[in-house]
Amino acid sequence: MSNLRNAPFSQNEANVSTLSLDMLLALSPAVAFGCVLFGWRVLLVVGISIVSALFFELLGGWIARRPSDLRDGTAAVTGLIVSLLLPASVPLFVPVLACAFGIFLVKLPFGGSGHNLFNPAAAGLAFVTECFSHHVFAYPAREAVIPFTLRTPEVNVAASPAGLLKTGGSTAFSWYELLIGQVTGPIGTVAILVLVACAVYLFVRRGAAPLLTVSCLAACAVIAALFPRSADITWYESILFELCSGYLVFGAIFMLNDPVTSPRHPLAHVMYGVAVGVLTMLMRHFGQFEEGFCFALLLCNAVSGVFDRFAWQLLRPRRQRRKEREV
Amino acid sequence: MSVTYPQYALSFPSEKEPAASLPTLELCRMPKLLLPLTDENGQPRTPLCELYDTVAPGQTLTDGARPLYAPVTGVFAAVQTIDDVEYMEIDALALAGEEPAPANVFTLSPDEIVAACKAAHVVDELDGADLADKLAAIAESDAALLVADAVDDQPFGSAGLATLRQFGAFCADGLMLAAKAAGIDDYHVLLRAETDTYKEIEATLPKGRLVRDRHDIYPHKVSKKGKPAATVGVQACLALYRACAFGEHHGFATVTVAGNAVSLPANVRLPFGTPLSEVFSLCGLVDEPDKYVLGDSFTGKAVDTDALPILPGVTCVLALKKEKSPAVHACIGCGRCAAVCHKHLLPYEIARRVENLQFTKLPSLSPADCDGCNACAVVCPANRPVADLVKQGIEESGRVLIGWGVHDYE
Ligand code: SF4
Ligand code: SF4
Repeated sequence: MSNLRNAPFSQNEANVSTLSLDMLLALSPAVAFGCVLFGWRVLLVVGISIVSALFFELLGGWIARRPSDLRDGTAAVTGLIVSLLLPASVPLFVPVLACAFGIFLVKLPFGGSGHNLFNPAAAGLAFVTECFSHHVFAYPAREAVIPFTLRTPEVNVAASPAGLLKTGGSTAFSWYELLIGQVTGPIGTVAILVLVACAVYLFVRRGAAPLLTVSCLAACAVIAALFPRSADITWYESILFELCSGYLVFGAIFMLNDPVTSPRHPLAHVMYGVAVGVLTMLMRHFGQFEEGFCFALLLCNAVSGVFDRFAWQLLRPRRQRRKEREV
Repeated sequence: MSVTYPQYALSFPSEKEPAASLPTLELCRMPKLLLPLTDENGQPRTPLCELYDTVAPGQTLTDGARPLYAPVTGVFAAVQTIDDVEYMEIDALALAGEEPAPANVFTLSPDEIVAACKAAHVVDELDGADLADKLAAIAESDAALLVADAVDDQPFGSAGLATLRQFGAFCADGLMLAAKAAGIDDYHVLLRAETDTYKEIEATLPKGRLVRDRHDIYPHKVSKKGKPAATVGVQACLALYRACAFGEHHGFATVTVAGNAVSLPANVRLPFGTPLSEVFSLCGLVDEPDKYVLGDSFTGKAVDTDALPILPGVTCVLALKKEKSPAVHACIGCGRCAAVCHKHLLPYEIARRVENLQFTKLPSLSPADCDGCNACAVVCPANRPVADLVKQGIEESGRVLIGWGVHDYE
């Protein structure tokens, strides 16, 4: 007959744009809370980061002569995530470089959204962490007032909980300060309770897979309980400090759940989450930096397809195996 | 009896109203009927009657592997061609007169039931298969339960519900006959409906025969304590009852006429062969439709002419307005297609292999298990034609591509 579209003629209302919109909505409380904790410069960092992510996406499309569709929202999500992982006093070229690296070198060469092998936000952040670790981990002290300025503000820096753990000391923060974000740290990742609320929203909207997040955090908790990094803390304090420091919770909710780079199968979700968790803890213990989540995530990105295949082979319905034997 | 669903099931807003709650319309102005001179497998059929012969219901009209039977009394008027397919046109006449007294169907033996079913050429509306063959296959299988399926689990259709509302008791009797012929002693009618409708229909059926499916999920599967259950359509049950009680040929169907271009969506009882134009002029069009769909919106077939007839196996027809086709993105790997697949396949993986021409990897992904429910394509947030690619994967399975530079790129 003619060139009519095939069935179905009804489509679920969830599409790529609404998924990205959900992600942006779930991240917005973290931005708002960042403003409350660190002042208005947060908006500047976030804004520059998102705009540069969109710009590099467009530029890449133009260079490759491939129409880039910003409406799918994936570039905006990348920009937002990158900015939320940086300190509020960061020089503005850092998020721009991170977005440039993530989108230009990691996302677009593989074919753009949907085809990228590595999570662009994690790759961008890993890049700036390697190159500018003195900026990326220079968290403003809690008393510091960060001026709303394009230049890099001169503020006192203080060690974050993750930094304190890295140097072997116990953290100087109490459990409720850790939970409500009264600590030094990146813009969007300190308010654990807010992040958990956002995660619940995403789980309900099916924008994120609980198995991924929970298995990753559980693996970290087990390792934290078994191997505390400081001699003078108990095992449950170790769990609390490890989970609430750095951007582990943020990453386990928002970066691990990037559907493109994570596996699809529920069992593969568990294996992948555990792998990322274990690698993160190894990097924290033996790595160069105070936070290793990005590197752990990138390593696992590379083999996420393997997890999928393995899980499917393992749980393949018996019906099918029987059929194969008959043949 | 239990109804099972995919692990992370597809639930879709219903579009059944107002058709579902309105009484069934009878298409009584007898129209011209169109019957295809090519069967489902593309084999030709040659008319056996002369032009202007009068034919009786159930009379064999053509030869061929799957011959045509006259659904109603009529006059063979012409052979006409629509879009390369030839149709046989009959001027249909309404059957007037009193209904004869039904024969006692409760004393029939299984063989007699099957014989009546064969003689009446009853077709199951669920899959378009011949009911007699299907019952024979069910008798062979280890099914422990026979279900008359009136669930209508796709968004628009409510023909099963309408059939039950109009002929509930007859459908139940037909199911009893079908169960007898298949040698199964546990049989139920499965319905998905609001409480009021359910109660209303329950009152017309023998006690305990109606089971309610309380979930609104697609696709559903029925089983009994882990054992498979067989399903037949309620309309097929009705036709089986009428075949046994009156010796009547299966010539009528209840069809839901709906879609956003239809002004009065309704269920219509009509003879097979009724052209789409007839039902849409009965129900009215609000807008110039962009396409017509034979079938429901998840699995139907789009056509661009309303000259085509409604044939056995179709229980829903739609007229849809022109809409901007949704943007198709690359697979974002969300895994929803795999989660809704009730055959436990990996649709995204099959689709990727097909697109990358890695056909040798396909057999281990068993695309042949796909039954074309299209649930994966409905959920896909990137709007990818996943189900079509899986279908393509069935054909390409195991094929090895050897290219030495030159391909026929035409
Ligand atoms: S169309 Fe096939 S692959 Fe897609 S959900 Fe249905 S059975 Fe699974
Ligand atoms: S539902 Fe669509 S986007 Fe999601 S994994 Fe399947 S094919 Fe890819």
